[in-house]
Amino acid sequence: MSAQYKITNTIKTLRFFANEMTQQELASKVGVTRQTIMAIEKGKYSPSLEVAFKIALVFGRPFDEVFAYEKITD
Amino acid sequence: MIAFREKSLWVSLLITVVIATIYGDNIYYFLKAGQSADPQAVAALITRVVIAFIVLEVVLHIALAMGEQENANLPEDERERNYRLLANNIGYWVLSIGVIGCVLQQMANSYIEAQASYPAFLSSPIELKLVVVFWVSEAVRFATEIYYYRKES
Repeated sequence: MSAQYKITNTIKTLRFFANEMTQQELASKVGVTRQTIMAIEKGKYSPSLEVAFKIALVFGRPFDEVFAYEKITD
Repeated sequence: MIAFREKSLWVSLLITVVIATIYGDNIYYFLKAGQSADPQAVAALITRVVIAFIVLEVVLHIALAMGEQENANLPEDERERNYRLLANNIGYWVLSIGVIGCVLQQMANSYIEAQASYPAFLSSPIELKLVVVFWVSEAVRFATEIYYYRKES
């Protein structure tokens, strides 16, 4: 059986350290709806590369500090 | 709180259900009548259904947008577009299969001398069957899009 991977993120933590930025504030800066940010945070929606880069840009962090592609099963 | 787009979909799905509730028995009556259905009465029914659908869609969406002016003006984002396209794809398949089925049935009605043994609804007016197919495809499209929104919440 091939290994399975999942896209994970640290958006919730990064929001907390960015003066407790709200989902709505992040959504406005990225140009998506609050519901989309919520779905990305929960790992239920994988954003496009453009939106993922925009999120990293808002927090001023490298892309791989915000998103990771992690193995969940072997 | 659910997104404006999802609320709009719930409204549209509700309208399709309301239309089916109001006019469903009339449509069923004409489908059951088969070839003996009065063409003028069928045309009048289709006109009423289409007008009711358009009026309800416009009025309820204006009311919804007035209640949420800020969210109503937001452009569709990539996730919403993705779900809309997925739902459109499924709705398109339902519509295509339904339309092809209606056309094939109409051709069969013309060429095969076995109409007497058909169930009545197979020989009912094609325009009425197409309205039903369109209604089903719209309901499937709205329901599919709502399903994608609900799946992630």
